[in-house]
Amino acid sequence: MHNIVSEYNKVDQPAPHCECTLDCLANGTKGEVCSVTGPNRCRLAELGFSRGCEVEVARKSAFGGPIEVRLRSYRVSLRVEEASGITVRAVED
Amino acid sequence: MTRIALVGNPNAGKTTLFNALTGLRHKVGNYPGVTVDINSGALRGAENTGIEIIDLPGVYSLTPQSPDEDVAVTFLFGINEAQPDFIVNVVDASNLERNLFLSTQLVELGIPMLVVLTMTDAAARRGLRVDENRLATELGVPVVSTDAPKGAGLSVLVRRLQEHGFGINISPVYAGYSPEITSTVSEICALSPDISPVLISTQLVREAPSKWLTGMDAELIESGRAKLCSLDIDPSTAIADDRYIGIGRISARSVIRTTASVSSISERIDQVALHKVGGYFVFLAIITLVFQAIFTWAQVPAEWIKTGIDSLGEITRASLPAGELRDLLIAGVIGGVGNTLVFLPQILTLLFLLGLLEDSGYLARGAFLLDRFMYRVGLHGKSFIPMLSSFACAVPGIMATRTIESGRERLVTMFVIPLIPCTARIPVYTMLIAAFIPATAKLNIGILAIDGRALCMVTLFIMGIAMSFTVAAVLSRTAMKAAPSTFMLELPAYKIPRISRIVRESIDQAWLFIQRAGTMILAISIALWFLSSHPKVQGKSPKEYERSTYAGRVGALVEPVLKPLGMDWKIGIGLLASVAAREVFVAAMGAIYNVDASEDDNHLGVAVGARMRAQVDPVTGKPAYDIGTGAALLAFFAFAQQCMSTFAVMRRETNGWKWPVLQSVTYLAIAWVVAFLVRTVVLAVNT
Repeated sequence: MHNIVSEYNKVDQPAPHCECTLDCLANGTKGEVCSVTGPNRCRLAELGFSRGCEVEVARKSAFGGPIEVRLRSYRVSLRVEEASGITVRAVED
Repeated sequence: MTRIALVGNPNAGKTTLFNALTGLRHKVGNYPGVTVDINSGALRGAENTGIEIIDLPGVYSLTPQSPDEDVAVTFLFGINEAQPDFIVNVVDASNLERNLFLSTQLVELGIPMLVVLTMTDAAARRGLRVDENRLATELGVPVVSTDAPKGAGLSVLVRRLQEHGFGINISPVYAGYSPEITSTVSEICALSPDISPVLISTQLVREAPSKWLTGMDAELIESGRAKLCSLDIDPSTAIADDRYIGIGRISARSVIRTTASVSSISERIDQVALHKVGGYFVFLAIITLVFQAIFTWAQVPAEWIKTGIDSLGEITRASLPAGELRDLLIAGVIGGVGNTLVFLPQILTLLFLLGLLEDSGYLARGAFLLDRFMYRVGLHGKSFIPMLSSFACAVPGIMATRTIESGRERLVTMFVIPLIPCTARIPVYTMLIAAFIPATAKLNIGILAIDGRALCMVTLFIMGIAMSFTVAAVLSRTAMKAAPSTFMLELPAYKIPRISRIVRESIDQAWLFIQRAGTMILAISIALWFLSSHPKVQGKSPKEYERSTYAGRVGALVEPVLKPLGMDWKIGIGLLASVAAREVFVAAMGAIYNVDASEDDNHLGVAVGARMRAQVDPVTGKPAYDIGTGAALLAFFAFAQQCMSTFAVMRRETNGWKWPVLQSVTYLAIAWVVAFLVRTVVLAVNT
């Protein structure tokens, strides 16, 4: 039998007002992840796109190509289709 | 036997550590199901102690999303064999939180474990310093730093592994899940005690449990998932959310923030290299340079090799008495192996340049720039790398698809690669164009007069490329329709390429190519020589003799299929011979028409072409081949997958006969239909 040690600590936060998706953020602006949807949400969550995580759009490419995102001290490029499944709340610097 | 598994995120420095630990004396093993090379080797300096180090494919979590990850995860859970005795978890210090996602899951496996921090220098540049002792306390496992390329810290690691590495006690700290998730995991645990909480939590996040999970366990997981969904909790994200809360705490306690150095050089290079307009010009310039190198510079050593092989043939001819053995040596062995070796300069050049681009960090940028176009036809940004290699040869191209994580996109890429115009087609194109298209042919557009022969060559190239994208688009919308994988491209920092390493790896790969393709070509060349010169029948005219050889009989057998394309049994033999390698067609046609093989290749092509033009149909007295035949042959060579080496490497890489057979049949059908249409049109226009 395995014992599960629960160390759960719920982060108290008011229901955030999520007005846009990650692909709508302008170059160089920051946001806070509210929810992740879409067929690849499991992998995106594992990569660090978790609720409350701060993300920054580092680079948008031409022709609607990939978007480079800065999060958790690393950078990853996503397709617009994936980024549009991530709702964010814009954060002021 | 003690088995140590090396586990970590892709690009965390796992392979570098593996090479340092084993001293490069490793073997490559194939695991069942998919072709994933897993390296394993003995710990350096402890070869006879029975310690085996296994370098598992990189994973982001214990929830597999690709065949590669599946191999690593089933190994760690001990699905097909015993679990490893010890885990060395390689953690990229400059990307700590994402790497800890895997580490916290590994800790829960309950296997003795050691964390190795890599890339601490990169972390320092970003103003991050990881407190090893603090991290060890938080994770409950020992942590050591290493800088494998420089060897620093490695001795500590090896000593630790040798002395008491296997006795390290760990106290699993489970991620703090929300009450609903905790109770779901406990319920499943109570009903099926043989599956661990970490297996449950990593399977709950999947839309459907992994195939290797047995009946009842899979059902329990599915009902658990349904229960959470009914509570309005999406396990696919909620479980990771909770884990990251714990990771945020670990990271906050063990990372010391210092001042980051000023904006990196990489960032400044990217402002040009990834510029919305300029980036594409940089890309085009680099690609042009690569092609220049393959098709111009690499030709120089290729000519030397060709000359060397020809003179070797001459020496053999002069020093051996005429007979079976001499024929076999010249036509079969020297001709066959020579055909492979001639491609070596091109392949080496391409492998070296690709290695240079990859190691410098540019290839990932190319994938970034091209992804949108590739995605439209169901390919991946990274598909451009193998497709580029395929302009030299499809064999290294297919091998290079391994960098594409998504199984589906990798398969589509491998499937369309044989359509890319490879160097082996060029001698055939040159010969046929020279034979069937008059040198005076011009296409007049206004004041521009375009050379007909050059235009034909360019058209053939464009046809091949266009067809590869068309097939990819059709496949990904029909037979291989699936949700696209996560794109997930990381742009590594630029660095100065390690030349000696790239040279070594290029030579290794080229050697693999020679072994795989060379042995095949040698065998087929010998077989072809035998078939086209036996049985030796006395007292027949040369014409009857040709037709009575084994090859002639097979040629006659396929003639009905080739008739509608304006081809006869002689071309049939040539096409069958080109299965060894496409360029063998020229030599085979030469053999059929008794053109003196001592001519060098260019002259051989001209002579064969002239002979083909001069062939007269014995019944009608008209030329046996018209321009329609020539056009049909060119179209056939553009699309048919007639290359044995490609077939062999496809079989190896997909681990089965299905895809290579399907590929050959499809392209044979496309080639035949297009050749027929082209001939019909050309003949209609010409009359």
